Parts: sequence; C-alpha cells; structure tokens
Amino acid sequence: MKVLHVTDADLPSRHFNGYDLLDDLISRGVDGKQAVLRRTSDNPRVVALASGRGDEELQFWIRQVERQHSVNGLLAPWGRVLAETPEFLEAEIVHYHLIHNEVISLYDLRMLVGVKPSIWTFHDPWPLTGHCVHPMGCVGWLSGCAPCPYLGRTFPIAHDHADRLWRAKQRVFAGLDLDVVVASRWMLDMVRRSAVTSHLRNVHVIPFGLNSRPFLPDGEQAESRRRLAIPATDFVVLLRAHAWEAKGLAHLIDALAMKPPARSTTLLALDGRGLLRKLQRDYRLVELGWVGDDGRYPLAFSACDVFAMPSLAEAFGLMAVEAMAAGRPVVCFEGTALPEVTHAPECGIAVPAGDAIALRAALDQLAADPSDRARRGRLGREIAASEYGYERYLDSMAGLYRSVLARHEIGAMAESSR
Amino acid sequence: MEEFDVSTPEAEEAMRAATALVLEVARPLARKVELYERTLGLAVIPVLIRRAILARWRRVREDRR
Repeated sequence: MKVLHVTDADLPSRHFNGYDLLDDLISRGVDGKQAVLRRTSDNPRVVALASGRGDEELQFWIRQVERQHSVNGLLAPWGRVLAETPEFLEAEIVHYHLIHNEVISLYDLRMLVGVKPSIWTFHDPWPLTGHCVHPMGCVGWLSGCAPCPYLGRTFPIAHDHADRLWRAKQRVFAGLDLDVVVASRWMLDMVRRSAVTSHLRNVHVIPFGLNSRPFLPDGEQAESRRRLAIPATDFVVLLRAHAWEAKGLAHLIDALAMKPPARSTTLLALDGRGLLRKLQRDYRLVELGWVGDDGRYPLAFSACDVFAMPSLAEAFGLMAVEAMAAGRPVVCFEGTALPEVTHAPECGIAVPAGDAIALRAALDQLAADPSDRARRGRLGREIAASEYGYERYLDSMAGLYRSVLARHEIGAMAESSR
Repeated sequence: MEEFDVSTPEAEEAMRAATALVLEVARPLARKVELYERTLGLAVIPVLIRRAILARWRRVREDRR
C-alpha cells in the first residue's frame, strides 16, 4: 500500500508529521513517501515541492500578501505542484499533516481530496476557526468567528475577515470526503461541536506513540544532574521556555515569582533562552536551549522532579507523554487536551487555566511530597507504556490506512456497477 | 480585497485562478529576482578586487617617493 504524507517540513516535527512512519510502517506493508515544502533531510523518500530557485522568496511574498489582505490558507500554490508529482499520482492514500502553514490552499485541497482517498490529521483546531491556530478560551469558532477579538493571534490578519474565512472552511469541508485523525478526545469533542466539521463521519482518535527518545531509569537521576551541573539536593522543575502565548510561560513565571521557593529549586529550561531572567534571584536557572537529538533531551527529563507544562492550548501534548514515560509527574492547565492525556487528577495535576496561584500550589505540593511524586511517576510510566506505546500507534495507523483504502475501493466498485 | 468575501463560490474560483497565476507568473518572476540578486553579488567582486589592487599600488608608489 502506497501512502504519501504531505506536510511543511520533514525533520522538524518528525515524530508526528509522518516522517518517522516512512520507515517504521514498512514492516506492516505500508510503503510511505513524504512531500514537503522545505526538505531538510537527504532521505530519498522525501520530495520537496518548493525547493526551486526563488521559491523561498515566493513563499515570503505569498505570506505578505495573505497577511495584508487578511486571507489565510487560500493562496499557497503548492497543492497544484503536488498534484503533478509522480509520488502523488502513484499514491493510494494521501495523508495530510501540517498543511495550514502556507502549504496548500483550502480550495486546492478540495481538488486533491477529490482524486485520492485522503486523511488529514488535525494537529490543532485551525480547521475549525476563522484564522487562529488555537482559540484559547474564545468560543467564537462555535458560531462563525464574528467578530474576532484576537486578530493578532497566529496566523494574524489585518482586517476582521475571520467570519469569511470561517465560512470558506465550512464550504470546503461540506464537500470533502475525508477521514480525519485527532490525537485526543478533547480534539474530537471540538470537531464534533464545530459547525464546520460536525458532519464528518470518519473521525479517528489515534494518540501519538513514543518511539525514538530513550528515557533513562530512575537510578540515573544523580548522574544526569551532575552532567547538567544541577545540585543533587535541589527540587528541579523542567519546563519549555517558549514565548508563544499558547505555551503559557507567562503564567508559570507569575506562579514562580509569587514568593521564593521553600527549598532550593532549579528551573531547567528547554528551548528558548533568556525568558526566565525575572526568576534568577530566587531560582537557579539552567537553560539548555534547543535540544535536538544530542542526548541531552532524556538527560533533562531524568534530572527533573516535575515537568511543568502550562500550555493554554494543546491538542495532544507529546512532551507531557515524554515526561510520563520518564516517570515524572506533569502539572498543566485545564481547558486543553493535557488533563486527558496525563490522566489528571490521578496521574497528572491540572489546575484552572491561567490560575498562577493554583499552579504554584500544585508545584509546592509536589516539592513537599516525594512519595506523591514517585506514585504519580510510576503511574505515568505505566500509562505511557500502555496507551502511548509506539507499536500500538503503528498498528493503529496501518489499520486506518487499510480501512480507508477498503472503504474507497468498495465505493468505487459500487460507483462503477451503477 | 478588504470587501472581498473569500467564502463565496465566485471567490473560490478567483482564488483557484490566483494560485494558478502564482505558479505561472509569480514563480518564474521570483526565480529571475533570485538569479538577479545572486549575479549582482558576483558582479561586485571584480570591482572590489580592482579597488584593492589600486589601493595597494598607490601605497607602494607613496613608499617609493
């Protein structure tokens, strides 16, 4: 079975954009290829749609035009390029991933879905909203996004055309014969409630599986801390420092700045640097920056006591699952997929969205109670193994491809016998 | 474009025509712009070499005096 994955780039987000499936599903009879805008690997299974001379400038130009004219996801021409590639023509199923990032115009998508059995993994609620990637508490998406109070949210628009964009999506989805994959029941609930997508019959909940990031056993914590220059006796909070509003870092900073910690505490930050300066008086800061596959990623999870993930928007939350696999409790906000994914309150701890006082109380509770941390860590590890195992994920994806293909073949036979 | 309603069937036709136009017209144009920028950069190099040689020559001549 030939499956073509379509997304913005290959290696970034490889754990959930189909890249890892190219090799990992071969043993299950799925011959995968990937079409991307920007190719960053030398994998012969990956084909670039916009790698020609001048294409980067063209992308920039399209982005500017869309932004200036308050259009979003409608002018990217790469769907037309995709339709003419041999990889698309020979594919039996086309699986779309992160395509709203100036990859394919929604109106071209209608044409593409019309000629090939298609699956779209909704990595976020963008297909249900006027222009934003995450509504973050706004309920305008339920009633047509008119008016939009958050024009500046990603993807920003200059004029309030959110209602028109929402109606455009409604028109497009009304005619799509498409299977949709979501990674959480939280996201499924949004798909069911949205007037854009509530009619879709084939929506599948398939949580992502963990594969390539080995997590160190508990006994390695002291060594991990030594290697990261963190005192062995500190309470260590791991976090992702990212300035995007949806990641909720400002709320975590408010919670930590509220008062000095009761015991010596290290903040171990992945990703951005310099965002925690406000806290350096009361906390030891260890900023690792962007950590790729250089071995420090599992080290960070091993060294910490708790993972704080204060996102205001998450349709799944792979890092939370990684923390669970590493045996570390997760503290998160309600109103996202994280309470479901982390099995709060039994395993993870979820507090009301944006409530810095409750967030701080949860962190203080875990700092003061090592036995509760250990219990939640053990449970998290069990859940990660049973619900987010990679083999289970591969089985689910291969099964989905088979069922989609079978359904389309039956449909085609019925059509031809008329 | 401010008053243009992108959700109508006419808009869909116009947008699809626009993406075709982007490929037919804007893409070759972007290629030319990229080529121009690249070759313009190359064209500057002989000028810089000439300037460097002249400056060196003047300094040598100055020293002889």
